[in-house]
Amino acid sequence: MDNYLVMENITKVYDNGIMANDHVNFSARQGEIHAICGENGAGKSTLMKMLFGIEQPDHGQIIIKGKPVHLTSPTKAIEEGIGMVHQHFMLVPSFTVAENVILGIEPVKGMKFDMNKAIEMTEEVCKKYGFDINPRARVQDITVGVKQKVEIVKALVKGCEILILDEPTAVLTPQETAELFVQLKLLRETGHTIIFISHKLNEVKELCDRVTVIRKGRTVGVYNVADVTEADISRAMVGVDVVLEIPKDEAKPKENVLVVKDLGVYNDAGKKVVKNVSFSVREGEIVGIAGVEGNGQRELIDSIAGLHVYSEGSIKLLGEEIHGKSIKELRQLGLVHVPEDRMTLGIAGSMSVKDNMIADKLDDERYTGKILNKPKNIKEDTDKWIKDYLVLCKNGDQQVNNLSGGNIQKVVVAREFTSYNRLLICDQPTRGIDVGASQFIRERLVKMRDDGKAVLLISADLGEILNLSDILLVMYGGEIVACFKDVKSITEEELGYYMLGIKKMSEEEIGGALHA
Amino acid sequence: MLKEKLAALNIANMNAQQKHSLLRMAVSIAIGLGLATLLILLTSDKPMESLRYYFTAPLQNANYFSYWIQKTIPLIFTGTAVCIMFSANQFNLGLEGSFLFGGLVAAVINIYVTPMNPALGIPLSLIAGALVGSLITFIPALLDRLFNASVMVTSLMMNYICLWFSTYLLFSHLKDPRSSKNSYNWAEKDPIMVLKFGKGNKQLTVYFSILVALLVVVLAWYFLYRTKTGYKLRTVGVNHNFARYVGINAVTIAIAVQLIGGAIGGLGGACEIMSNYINYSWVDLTGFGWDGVTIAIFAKNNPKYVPLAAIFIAYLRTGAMVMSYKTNIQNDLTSVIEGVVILFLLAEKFLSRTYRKMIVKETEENRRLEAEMQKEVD
Repeated sequence: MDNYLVMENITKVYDNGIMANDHVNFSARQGEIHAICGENGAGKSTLMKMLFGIEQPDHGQIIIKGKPVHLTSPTKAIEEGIGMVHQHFMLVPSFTVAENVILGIEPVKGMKFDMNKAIEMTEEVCKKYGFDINPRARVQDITVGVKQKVEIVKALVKGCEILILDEPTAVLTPQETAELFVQLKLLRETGHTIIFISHKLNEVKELCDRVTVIRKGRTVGVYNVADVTEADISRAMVGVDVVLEIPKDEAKPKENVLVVKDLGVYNDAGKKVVKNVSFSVREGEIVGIAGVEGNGQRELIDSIAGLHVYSEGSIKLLGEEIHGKSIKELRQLGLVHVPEDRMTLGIAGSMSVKDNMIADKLDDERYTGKILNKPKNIKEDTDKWIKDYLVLCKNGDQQVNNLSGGNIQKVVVAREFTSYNRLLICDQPTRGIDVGASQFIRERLVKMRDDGKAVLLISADLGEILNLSDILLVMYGGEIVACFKDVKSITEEELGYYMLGIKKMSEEEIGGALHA
Repeated sequence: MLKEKLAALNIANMNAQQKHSLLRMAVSIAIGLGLATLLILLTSDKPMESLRYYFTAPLQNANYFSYWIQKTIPLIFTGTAVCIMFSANQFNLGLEGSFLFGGLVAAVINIYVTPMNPALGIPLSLIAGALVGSLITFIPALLDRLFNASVMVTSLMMNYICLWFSTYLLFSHLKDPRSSKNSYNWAEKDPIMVLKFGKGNKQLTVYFSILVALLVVVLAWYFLYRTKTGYKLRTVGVNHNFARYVGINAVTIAIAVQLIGGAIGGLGGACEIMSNYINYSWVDLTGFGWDGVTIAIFAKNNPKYVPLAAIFIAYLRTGAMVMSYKTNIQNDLTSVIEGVVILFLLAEKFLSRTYRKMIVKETEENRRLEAEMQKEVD
């Protein structure tokens, strides 16, 4: 039954003009577990929000069991048999499990809430689908894994037939994950359709029947999981854009600029996500970090950039320990940072291109006096940068929001590269942007290297990272598992083995990342 | 060729949001005024006369015109103050208190200093008004910093502390024993900061405080858009994550804007007292602090548009005042109308379908144009 759930030609434009979905097609059969894979910002969450009635599509239609539906609210979606477990749980901590489960369909006896009936309803569903939960426990007292089960039961009680799970394993231990999978397979047997959003490809491989890959708001393809490898899925996610090799000479590295030693970092949930990492970046070289998302790169970079506090080991920038230094002090030392999430960290959306380019240079005497700005100098320089960095905009006064992703990224790059810099951190510098802009940014990076800057590059784009890096590190499970000094000789396939944790280099080889 | 397309792209780009926001403002005002007309037609004994007063009174004679200007000035002060605080996302609502205390302090100085030494008393009362005003908004800011107390709540409470404290002061120390509710006078006949010409309906009042108000607007605009601090402040307001990432200290900025906002409010209160009164008699909040929020919403937090918004609101209020004076329609009509307009202005979903259509069309068009441009570049 291939028209069980069909999302056809779905287009969604957000109010700020970002096109999150561009004619996306998606369909799922009854009784299958269907994965949706894609990078951050590829549009998978947007698509699911439309299926759960949180957002409405601008074009296209949603068909459930052959009948077009208009899902104008989650209530409507629930009526159509759709349930969603969000990444962040939607539970009331001070309520009991049963109270949470029946929220929205409260049973009543006369005027009063019928607690016994609620417990009965919860127990019934738990028994039917084999969940082991105490309905009387308070949600604040149960573990994350159980909370997730409560979320699922909550959806099942309302008669859900299509269950959306948004990155359900992100917060679970391996044991909890295994348990969850058993339960999901059980649900599949009872005819439920499960949509599983994840970028953990091994889980997709283990659990799912089919996978739909989305990239830059478009459907790349639908595959039977049995027919494809993890590498195939990964390639489809990142894209096989023809990367033109950027020509570059042999690196001539000089002094150390960044030295990271025995670094250990905990994430906000208190889990150790960077373990014992040591490496250095020297003047005139590009050090690349490859790895599947979620293997500690995020926290490593945030720690170096001063956005996250690290607890073990040391990070030295030009010989100075950065622990406790403000971002302003780090920037004065010569750190610049092209962040991964350009919309949240990289720009102030409703301000002008000019304002965005100058944001980190406000204390520079060329642009501001004691009190007043120097508009003439600001205009002169920003106009020049707009030209130099090929930012396609009418003029510097245009709102940066109104530019396309590629042009916004050029604004970010222009700002960072024109500031005083010794160390450039470039986090996914070309993610989600067009080929032309990507090429341009890569050329600039190589040029900065040739000018004697130290460059730390993080990228999920293997072609890019293999082309640009002079030294390539691979992160897996919070550790550096490989250090390649001769990047030219690595194949993507071999790199893949390290990224998936199948292979690991010796301590000695990995130690080569740190230059004394 | 490329350049032309670029220009086309950007013009289209610039307009969608701005066009829609203008449209929404125009429709909201039209609905408000339409409703006013309807209510007047339905309830007035002399509908045509009422309408004439409501819509044209401020232009009918010098007296009404003066009243119009008088009502405009405090709105400019508080509107500008709110613009600055809201630009940095600081929702401090203590302006009522600042305005009241600004007036109170100015009154005290006028009673005790000005009669002896006007050259010292007048500037001193303005400066003291501003300083005290900034103190009123600073206290909630400080409580937020030290104890993480919600600025919105503490600043609202602050207003009532100010009100009852000033009332106490009036009746315990400032009140003239010969009067039941007024303080000692500080002037003979006319307030200090005005000049009056003519008599009756032809009496024109010249308010010097409008110069102060306009100066404040210009300085505020300059501050927000031309100074280092103003720039940082707007950045914090637009995206505080970004501000942190480029190394801006948001805490200092937050406190600074609240000091400045309160100072402008206090200055406004001092000007109000010296432009319209010869003694102090405030026993209620003036309402101008709340009005500041209204004005800032109309002006979209840009001081540049504050005088326009203030003149507009004051015009309607003057019209309503004269109408209620001359006919049977209540003055309160204008509050209803303001409320309705603001309601539509702030209703995010109002005209959202039109906006959706505009933005979807625009985005698709932009992507198409960009793809074409890319081809040319390649």
